[in-house]
Amino acid sequence: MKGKNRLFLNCVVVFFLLQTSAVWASQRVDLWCKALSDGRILIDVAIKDPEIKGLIVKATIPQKRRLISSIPKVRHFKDGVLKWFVETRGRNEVKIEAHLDSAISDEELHVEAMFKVPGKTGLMTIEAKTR
Amino acid sequence: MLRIDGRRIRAIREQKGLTQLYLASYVGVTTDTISRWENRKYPTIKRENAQKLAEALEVELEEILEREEEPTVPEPDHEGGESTRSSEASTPKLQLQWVKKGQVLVIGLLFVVIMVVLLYLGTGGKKEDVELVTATRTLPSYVAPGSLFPVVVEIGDPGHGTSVIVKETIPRSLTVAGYYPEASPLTLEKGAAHWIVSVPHGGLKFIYVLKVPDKTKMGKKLRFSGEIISKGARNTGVPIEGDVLTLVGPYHWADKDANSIIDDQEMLDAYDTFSQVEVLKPELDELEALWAKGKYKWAIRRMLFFGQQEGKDEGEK
Repeated sequence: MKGKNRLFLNCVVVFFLLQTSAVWASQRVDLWCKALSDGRILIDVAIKDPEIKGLIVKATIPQKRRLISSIPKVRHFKDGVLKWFVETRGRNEVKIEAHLDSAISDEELHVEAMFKVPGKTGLMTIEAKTR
Repeated sequence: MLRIDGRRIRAIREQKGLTQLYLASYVGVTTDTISRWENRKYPTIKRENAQKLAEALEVELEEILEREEEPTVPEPDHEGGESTRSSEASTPKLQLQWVKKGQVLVIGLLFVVIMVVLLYLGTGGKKEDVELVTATRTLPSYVAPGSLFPVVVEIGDPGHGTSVIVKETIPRSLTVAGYYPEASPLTLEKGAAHWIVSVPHGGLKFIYVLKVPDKTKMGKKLRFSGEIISKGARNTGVPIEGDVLTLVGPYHWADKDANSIIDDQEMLDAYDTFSQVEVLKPELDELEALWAKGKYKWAIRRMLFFGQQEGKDEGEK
Protein backbone atom coordinates (compact mmCIF):
# COMPACT_ATOMS: atom_id res chain seq x y z
CA MET A 1 0.00 0.00 0.00
CA LYS A 2 2.79 2.36 0.96
CA GLY A 3 4.58 1.68 -2.34
CA LYS A 4 1.40 2.41 -4.30
CA ASN A 5 0.87 5.65 -2.41
CA ARG A 6 4.42 6.74 -3.14
CA LEU A 7 4.03 5.89 -6.81
CA PHE A 8 0.78 7.85 -6.95
CA LEU A 9 2.41 10.83 -5.27
CA ASN A 10 5.37 10.69 -7.66
CA CYS A 11 2.98 10.60 -10.62
CA VAL A 12 1.12 13.64 -9.25
CA VAL A 13 4.39 15.55 -8.79
CA VAL A 14 5.63 14.67 -12.30
CA PHE A 15 2.25 15.61 -13.82
CA PHE A 16 2.28 18.91 -11.89
CA LEU A 17 5.85 19.69 -13.04
CA LEU A 18 5.02 18.90 -16.67
CA GLN A 19 1.92 21.07 -16.51
CA THR A 20 3.86 23.94 -14.91
CA SER A 21 6.60 23.65 -17.53
CA ALA A 22 4.05 23.66 -20.37
CA VAL A 23 2.23 26.67 -18.93
CA TRP A 24 5.53 28.47 -18.39
CA ALA A 25 6.62 27.78 -21.98
CA SER A 26 3.28 28.90 -23.42
CA GLN A 27 3.61 32.19 -21.58
CA ARG A 28 6.68 32.90 -23.70
CA VAL A 29 5.77 31.49 -27.11
CA ASP A 30 2.51 30.63 -28.84
CA LEU A 31 2.51 28.20 -31.74
CA TRP A 32 -0.23 27.36 -34.22
CA CYS A 33 -0.26 25.18 -37.31
CA LYS A 34 -2.68 24.41 -40.13
CA ALA A 35 -2.59 21.93 -43.02
CA LEU A 36 -4.40 23.24 -46.12
CA SER A 37 -6.09 21.21 -48.85
CA ASP A 38 -3.68 22.53 -51.54
CA GLY A 39 -0.69 20.86 -49.86
CA ARG A 40 0.53 23.90 -47.93
CA ILE A 41 1.26 23.84 -44.23
CA LEU A 42 1.19 27.09 -42.27
CA ILE A 43 2.97 27.64 -38.98
CA ASP A 44 2.59 30.79 -36.88
CA VAL A 45 4.97 31.56 -34.03
CA ALA A 46 4.14 34.40 -31.61
CA ILE A 47 7.12 35.34 -29.44
CA LYS A 48 6.00 37.03 -26.24
CA ASP A 49 9.38 37.11 -24.50
CA PRO A 50 11.78 39.55 -26.19
CA GLU A 51 14.75 37.83 -24.54
CA ILE A 52 14.29 34.81 -26.79
CA LYS A 53 16.84 35.19 -29.55
CA GLY A 54 16.26 32.08 -31.60
CA LEU A 55 13.87 29.14 -32.02
CA ILE A 56 14.01 25.75 -33.62
CA VAL A 57 10.72 24.77 -35.24
CA LYS A 58 10.22 21.08 -36.06
CA ALA A 59 7.36 19.77 -38.18
CA THR A 60 6.67 16.07 -38.63
CA ILE A 61 4.77 14.97 -41.73
CA PRO A 62 4.09 11.53 -43.26
CA GLN A 63 7.37 10.17 -44.60
CA LYS A 64 6.15 9.68 -48.18
CA ARG A 65 5.48 13.38 -48.72
CA ARG A 66 8.01 15.48 -50.63
CA LEU A 67 8.76 19.11 -50.01
CA ILE A 68 8.26 21.51 -52.94
CA SER A 69 9.19 24.82 -51.31
CA SER A 70 9.44 26.57 -48.00
CA ILE A 71 9.59 30.17 -46.78
CA PRO A 72 11.87 30.65 -44.89
CA LYS A 73 14.13 28.03 -46.37
CA VAL A 74 14.00 24.72 -44.52
CA ARG A 75 17.35 23.88 -42.93
CA HIS A 76 16.82 20.15 -42.54
CA PHE A 77 14.44 17.61 -44.11
CA LYS A 78 14.87 13.95 -43.41
CA ASP A 79 12.56 11.04 -42.53
CA GLY A 80 9.51 13.29 -42.62
CA VAL A 81 11.00 15.82 -40.19
CA LEU A 82 11.41 19.42 -41.30
CA LYS A 83 13.51 21.79 -39.20
CA TRP A 84 13.86 25.54 -39.30
CA PHE A 85 16.04 27.81 -37.23
CA VAL A 86 14.32 31.13 -36.67
CA GLU A 87 16.33 34.14 -35.61
CA THR A 88 13.81 36.37 -33.84
CA ARG A 89 15.76 39.66 -34.29
CA GLY A 90 13.31 41.49 -32.07
CA ARG A 91 10.28 40.31 -34.06
CA ASN A 92 7.27 39.15 -32.11
CA GLU A 93 5.79 37.04 -34.89
CA VAL A 94 7.24 34.61 -37.39
CA LYS A 95 5.31 32.85 -40.16
CA ILE A 96 6.48 29.70 -41.89
CA GLU A 97 4.89 28.33 -45.04
CA ALA A 98 5.89 25.01 -46.58
CA HIS A 99 4.44 23.51 -49.74
CA LEU A 100 4.21 19.71 -49.96
CA ASP A 101 3.58 17.60 -53.06
CA SER A 102 0.11 16.65 -51.78
CA ALA A 103 -2.25 17.60 -49.00
CA ILE A 104 -2.08 16.17 -45.51
CA SER A 105 -4.58 16.41 -42.69
CA ASP A 106 -4.18 18.37 -39.45
CA GLU A 107 -3.90 15.04 -37.62
CA GLU A 108 -0.91 14.05 -39.76
CA LEU A 109 0.90 17.28 -38.99
CA HIS A 110 2.79 17.59 -35.73
CA VAL A 111 4.68 20.82 -35.00
CA GLU A 112 6.77 21.84 -32.01
CA ALA A 113 9.12 24.71 -31.19
CA MET A 114 12.18 24.65 -28.98
CA PHE A 115 13.80 27.68 -27.45
CA LYS A 116 16.06 28.74 -24.65
CA VAL A 117 15.28 31.33 -22.03
CA PRO A 118 18.44 33.32 -21.21
CA GLY A 119 19.92 32.46 -17.86
CA LYS A 120 18.20 29.07 -17.71
CA THR A 121 19.75 25.79 -18.68
CA GLY A 122 17.85 23.36 -20.83
CA LEU A 123 15.40 23.90 -23.62
CA MET A 124 11.72 24.64 -23.48
CA THR A 125 9.46 22.84 -25.89
CA ILE A 126 5.96 23.84 -26.90
CA GLU A 127 3.57 21.95 -29.14
CA ALA A 128 1.48 23.69 -31.77
CA LYS A 129 -2.27 24.08 -31.52
CA THR A 130 -4.28 23.46 -34.66
CA ARG A 131 -6.14 26.43 -36.09
CA MET B 1 55.66 66.71 -18.80
CA LEU B 2 53.10 67.93 -16.27
CA ARG B 3 53.45 68.72 -12.57
CA ILE B 4 51.01 66.71 -10.52
CA ASP B 5 49.64 67.23 -7.04
CA GLY B 6 50.46 63.97 -5.24
CA ARG B 7 48.55 64.81 -2.07
CA ARG B 8 45.44 65.58 -4.04
CA ILE B 9 45.78 62.36 -6.04
CA ARG B 10 46.01 60.35 -2.84
CA ALA B 11 43.03 62.22 -1.33
CA ILE B 12 40.84 61.59 -4.39
CA ARG B 13 41.91 57.95 -4.55
CA GLU B 14 41.15 57.35 -0.88
CA GLN B 15 37.88 59.27 -1.08
CA LYS B 16 36.74 57.06 -3.98
CA GLY B 17 37.96 53.89 -2.31
CA LEU B 18 40.35 53.01 -5.12
CA THR B 19 43.49 50.96 -4.63
CA GLN B 20 46.95 51.83 -5.88
CA LEU B 21 46.78 48.52 -7.77
CA TYR B 22 43.65 49.62 -9.62
CA LEU B 23 45.27 52.92 -10.64
CA ALA B 24 48.49 51.15 -11.58
CA SER B 25 46.62 48.65 -13.78
CA TYR B 26 44.58 51.40 -15.41
CA VAL B 27 47.55 53.65 -16.19
CA GLY B 28 49.88 50.77 -17.03
CA VAL B 29 52.55 51.45 -14.39
CA THR B 30 53.59 49.72 -11.16
CA THR B 31 52.09 50.39 -7.73
CA ASP B 32 55.52 51.76 -6.70
CA THR B 33 55.18 54.46 -9.33
CA ILE B 34 51.73 55.40 -8.06
CA SER B 35 53.16 55.57 -4.54
CA ARG B 36 56.01 57.82 -5.73
CA TRP B 37 53.57 60.11 -7.53
CA GLU B 38 51.50 60.41 -4.39
CA ASN B 39 54.53 61.01 -2.18
CA ARG B 40 55.85 63.63 -4.60
CA LYS B 41 59.01 61.69 -5.28
CA TYR B 42 58.13 61.97 -8.96
CA PRO B 43 56.53 65.42 -9.16
CA THR B 44 56.26 65.45 -12.96
CA ILE B 45 54.72 62.83 -15.26
CA LYS B 46 53.98 62.38 -18.93
CA ARG B 47 50.79 64.00 -20.21
CA GLU B 48 49.34 60.67 -21.42
CA ASN B 49 49.90 59.10 -18.00
CA ALA B 50 48.34 62.11 -16.31
CA GLN B 51 45.33 61.82 -18.61
CA LYS B 52 44.90 58.11 -17.80
CA LEU B 53 45.36 58.79 -14.11
CA ALA B 54 42.62 61.43 -14.21
CA GLU B 55 40.35 58.98 -16.06
CA ALA B 56 40.99 56.29 -13.46
CA LEU B 57 40.21 58.75 -10.69
CA GLU B 58 37.13 59.97 -12.64
CA VAL B 59 38.15 63.61 -12.42
CA GLU B 60 39.24 66.27 -14.88
CA LEU B 61 42.94 66.41 -15.67
CA GLU B 62 43.25 69.87 -14.13
CA GLU B 63 42.14 68.55 -10.77
CA ILE B 64 45.24 66.46 -10.29
CA LEU B 65 47.69 69.02 -11.60
CA GLU B 66 49.64 71.19 -9.19
CA ARG B 67 47.92 74.52 -9.02
CA GLU B 68 49.90 77.61 -9.79
CA GLU B 69 49.82 80.02 -6.84
CA GLU B 70 50.58 83.13 -8.89
CA PRO B 71 47.05 83.94 -10.10
CA THR B 72 45.62 83.88 -6.57
CA VAL B 73 48.15 86.39 -5.13
CA PRO B 74 47.95 90.03 -6.15
CA GLU B 75 49.47 91.17 -9.41
CA PRO B 76 53.23 91.59 -9.15
CA ASP B 77 54.31 95.21 -9.05
CA HIS B 78 55.75 96.34 -12.30
CA GLU B 79 56.31 99.85 -11.02
CA GLY B 80 58.00 100.89 -7.77
CA GLY B 81 55.80 101.89 -4.81
CA GLU B 82 52.85 99.78 -5.85
CA SER B 83 53.87 96.77 -3.79
CA THR B 84 53.14 98.29 -0.36
CA ARG B 85 49.73 99.50 -1.48
CA SER B 86 48.79 96.22 -3.07
CA SER B 87 49.88 94.18 -0.03
CA GLU B 88 47.83 96.43 2.23
CA ALA B 89 44.81 96.12 -0.02
CA SER B 90 45.22 92.40 -0.30
CA THR B 91 45.12 91.70 3.45
CA PRO B 92 41.27 91.85 3.81
CA LYS B 93 40.99 89.90 0.52
CA LEU B 94 43.25 87.20 1.88
CA GLN B 95 41.25 87.07 5.11
CA LEU B 96 38.07 86.74 3.08
CA GLN B 97 39.65 83.97 1.04
CA TRP B 98 40.63 82.14 4.21
CA VAL B 99 37.08 82.45 5.60
CA LYS B 100 35.73 81.11 2.30
CA LYS B 101 38.28 78.31 2.32
CA GLY B 102 37.26 77.44 5.88
CA GLN B 103 33.60 77.31 4.88
CA VAL B 104 34.36 75.15 1.87
CA LEU B 105 36.45 72.87 4.07
CA VAL B 106 33.65 72.48 6.65
CA ILE B 107 31.05 71.83 3.92
CA GLY B 108 33.41 69.42 2.22
CA LEU B 109 34.06 67.55 5.45
CA LEU B 110 30.33 67.37 6.18
CA PHE B 111 29.71 66.04 2.68
CA VAL B 112 32.41 63.40 3.08
CA VAL B 113 31.00 62.32 6.48
CA ILE B 114 27.47 62.06 5.03
CA MET B 115 28.73 60.09 2.04
CA VAL B 116 30.69 57.69 4.27
CA VAL B 117 27.62 57.15 6.49
CA LEU B 118 25.37 56.59 3.46
CA LEU B 119 27.86 54.21 1.91
CA TYR B 120 28.15 52.30 5.18
CA LEU B 121 24.37 52.07 5.54
CA GLY B 122 23.92 51.17 1.89
CA THR B 123 26.35 48.28 2.11
CA GLY B 124 24.92 47.07 5.40
CA GLY B 125 28.26 47.71 7.05
CA LYS B 126 29.86 44.81 5.23
CA LYS B 127 32.12 46.74 2.93
CA GLU B 128 34.50 43.87 2.17
CA ASP B 129 31.66 41.50 1.15
CA VAL B 130 30.18 43.87 -1.44
CA GLU B 131 33.45 44.88 -3.01
CA LEU B 132 34.46 41.30 -3.69
CA VAL B 133 33.65 40.85 -7.37
CA THR B 134 34.25 37.33 -8.63
CA ALA B 135 34.32 35.90 -12.15
CA THR B 136 34.17 32.51 -13.81
CA ARG B 137 35.67 31.63 -17.16
CA THR B 138 34.04 29.20 -19.61
CA LEU B 139 36.14 27.72 -22.41
CA PRO B 140 35.11 25.36 -25.22
CA SER B 141 36.25 21.75 -24.81
CA TYR B 142 38.01 21.88 -28.20
CA VAL B 143 39.00 24.51 -30.70
CA ALA B 144 40.08 23.87 -34.28
CA PRO B 145 43.21 25.28 -35.94
CA GLY B 146 42.52 28.46 -37.86
CA SER B 147 39.15 29.02 -36.20
CA LEU B 148 37.72 31.76 -34.02
CA PHE B 149 36.33 30.79 -30.66
CA PRO B 150 34.69 32.65 -27.76
CA VAL B 151 35.77 32.81 -24.13
CA VAL B 152 33.08 33.80 -21.63
CA VAL B 153 34.03 35.54 -18.39
CA GLU B 154 30.92 35.66 -16.26
CA ILE B 155 31.34 38.49 -13.77
CA GLY B 156 29.31 38.09 -10.59
CA ASP B 157 26.84 40.59 -9.21
CA PRO B 158 28.81 43.44 -7.65
CA GLY B 159 25.70 44.59 -5.75
CA HIS B 160 25.77 47.93 -7.59
CA GLY B 161 27.02 49.24 -10.90
CA THR B 162 30.80 49.40 -10.97
CA SER B 163 33.74 48.88 -13.25
CA VAL B 164 36.41 46.23 -12.99
CA ILE B 165 39.62 45.36 -14.74
CA VAL B 166 39.61 41.94 -16.38
CA LYS B 167 43.21 40.73 -16.74
CA GLU B 168 43.53 37.59 -18.80
CA THR B 169 46.73 35.72 -19.54
CA ILE B 170 46.17 33.83 -22.78
CA PRO B 171 48.43 31.54 -24.84
CA ARG B 172 50.90 33.71 -26.74
CA SER B 173 50.02 32.17 -30.10
CA LEU B 174 46.38 33.37 -29.91
CA THR B 175 45.18 36.80 -30.98
CA VAL B 176 42.14 38.74 -29.79
CA ALA B 177 39.65 39.15 -32.65
CA GLY B 178 36.89 40.96 -30.75
CA TYR B 179 34.96 41.34 -27.53
CA TYR B 180 31.46 42.06 -26.26
CA PRO B 181 29.99 44.18 -24.73
CA GLU B 182 31.74 47.53 -25.17
CA ALA B 183 34.82 47.79 -22.95
CA SER B 184 38.04 49.79 -22.80
CA PRO B 185 40.98 47.66 -23.82
CA LEU B 186 44.12 48.39 -21.80
CA THR B 187 46.38 45.75 -23.29
CA LEU B 188 45.75 43.42 -26.21
CA GLU B 189 49.22 42.08 -26.74
CA LYS B 190 50.57 38.60 -27.22
CA GLY B 191 49.83 36.65 -24.08
CA ALA B 192 47.90 39.39 -22.31
CA ALA B 193 44.43 40.84 -22.70
CA HIS B 194 43.24 43.46 -20.21
CA TRP B 195 40.02 45.46 -20.32
CA ILE B 196 38.12 47.86 -18.12
CA VAL B 197 34.57 46.55 -18.08
CA SER B 198 31.47 48.29 -16.74
CA VAL B 199 29.47 45.79 -14.71
CA PRO B 200 25.81 46.60 -14.05
CA HIS B 201 23.84 45.48 -11.04
CA GLY B 202 23.17 41.78 -11.56
CA GLY B 203 26.52 40.94 -13.17
CA LEU B 204 27.63 40.56 -16.76
CA LYS B 205 28.84 38.03 -19.30
CA PHE B 206 31.99 39.46 -20.86
CA ILE B 207 32.89 37.64 -24.06
CA TYR B 208 36.14 37.85 -25.97
CA VAL B 209 36.92 36.07 -29.21
CA LEU B 210 40.30 34.52 -29.98
CA LYS B 211 41.84 33.31 -33.22
CA VAL B 212 43.78 30.06 -33.30
CA PRO B 213 46.72 30.13 -35.75
CA ASP B 214 46.31 27.90 -38.81
CA LYS B 215 49.28 25.66 -38.13
CA THR B 216 48.52 24.87 -34.50
CA LYS B 217 49.16 21.20 -33.78
CA MET B 218 46.27 18.92 -32.88
CA GLY B 219 46.25 18.00 -29.22
CA LYS B 220 48.01 21.17 -28.10
CA LYS B 221 46.86 22.42 -24.71
CA LEU B 222 45.90 26.08 -24.49
CA ARG B 223 46.10 27.34 -20.91
CA PHE B 224 44.38 30.40 -19.49
CA SER B 225 44.64 32.28 -16.23
CA GLY B 226 43.53 35.68 -15.06
CA GLU B 227 42.28 37.91 -12.33
CA ILE B 228 39.66 40.53 -11.80
CA ILE B 229 40.46 43.78 -10.07
CA SER B 230 37.61 45.74 -8.60
CA LYS B 231 37.51 49.34 -7.53
CA GLY B 232 37.20 48.39 -3.88
CA ALA B 233 39.71 48.56 -1.10
CA ARG B 234 41.18 45.13 -1.69
CA ASN B 235 44.85 45.17 -2.44
CA THR B 236 44.98 42.23 -4.80
CA GLY B 237 42.96 40.95 -7.72
CA VAL B 238 40.63 37.98 -7.37
CA PRO B 239 41.63 35.00 -9.56
CA ILE B 240 39.13 34.17 -12.31
CA GLU B 241 37.74 30.72 -11.59
CA GLY B 242 36.34 28.10 -13.95
CA ASP B 243 37.95 26.55 -17.02
CA VAL B 244 41.70 26.99 -17.51
CA LEU B 245 42.38 24.64 -20.39
CA THR B 246 41.13 23.94 -23.89
CA LEU B 247 42.51 21.51 -26.44
CA VAL B 248 43.20 21.97 -30.11
CA GLY B 249 41.18 19.29 -31.90
CA PRO B 250 38.92 18.56 -34.87
CA TYR B 251 35.74 19.74 -33.13
CA HIS B 252 33.68 22.89 -33.35
CA TRP B 253 33.83 25.14 -30.25
CA ALA B 254 30.05 24.87 -29.84
CA ASP B 255 30.17 21.06 -29.82
CA LYS B 256 30.36 20.76 -26.04
CA ASP B 257 30.36 16.96 -25.90
CA ALA B 258 32.77 16.66 -28.87
CA ASN B 259 30.64 14.04 -30.65
CA SER B 260 30.79 15.71 -34.11
CA ILE B 261 27.08 16.54 -33.88
CA ILE B 262 25.68 19.99 -33.23
CA ASP B 263 22.44 19.15 -31.44
CA ASP B 264 19.47 21.45 -30.79
CA GLN B 265 20.65 22.37 -27.31
CA GLU B 266 24.16 23.30 -28.49
CA MET B 267 22.74 25.32 -31.38
CA LEU B 268 20.37 27.32 -29.19
CA ASP B 269 22.96 27.73 -26.41
CA ALA B 270 25.47 29.18 -28.86
CA TYR B 271 22.93 31.44 -30.48
CA ASP B 272 21.58 32.64 -27.13
CA THR B 273 25.01 33.55 -25.77
CA PHE B 274 26.86 34.78 -28.83
CA SER B 275 24.32 36.25 -31.28
CA GLN B 276 25.25 39.79 -30.16
CA VAL B 277 28.97 39.28 -30.83
CA GLU B 278 29.54 40.82 -34.25
CA VAL B 279 32.80 39.01 -34.99
CA LEU B 280 31.13 35.63 -34.40
CA LYS B 281 28.26 36.16 -36.90
CA PRO B 282 29.94 34.12 -39.70
CA GLU B 283 30.78 31.41 -37.15
CA LEU B 284 27.11 31.21 -36.12
CA ASP B 285 26.00 30.94 -39.76
CA GLU B 286 28.45 28.08 -40.20
CA LEU B 287 27.17 26.50 -36.98
CA GLU B 288 23.59 26.66 -38.25
CA ALA B 289 24.64 24.83 -41.41
CA LEU B 290 26.42 22.14 -39.37
CA TRP B 291 23.39 21.77 -37.08
CA ALA B 292 21.10 21.37 -40.10
CA LYS B 293 23.28 18.64 -41.61
CA GLY B 294 23.31 16.55 -38.45
CA LYS B 295 26.95 15.42 -38.41
CA TYR B 296 30.07 17.33 -39.30
CA LYS B 297 33.73 16.62 -40.01
CA TRP B 298 36.92 18.62 -39.95
CA ALA B 299 38.75 18.87 -43.25
CA ILE B 300 42.41 18.93 -42.24
CA ARG B 301 43.79 20.23 -45.55
CA ARG B 302 41.12 22.86 -46.16
CA MET B 303 41.01 23.79 -42.46
CA LEU B 304 37.23 23.95 -42.28
CA PHE B 305 34.20 22.07 -41.01
CA PHE B 306 31.76 20.50 -43.43
CA GLY B 307 28.36 18.93 -42.76
CA GLN B 308 27.61 15.29 -43.43
CA GLN B 309 24.09 13.96 -43.78
CA GLU B 310 23.56 10.40 -42.73
CA GLY B 311 21.82 8.10 -45.22
CA LYS B 312 19.77 9.28 -48.17
CA ASP B 313 18.54 12.83 -47.92
CA GLU B 314 15.46 14.51 -49.26
CA GLY B 315 16.50 18.05 -49.96
CA GLU B 316 14.48 21.10 -50.72
CA LYS B 317 14.20 21.83 -54.40
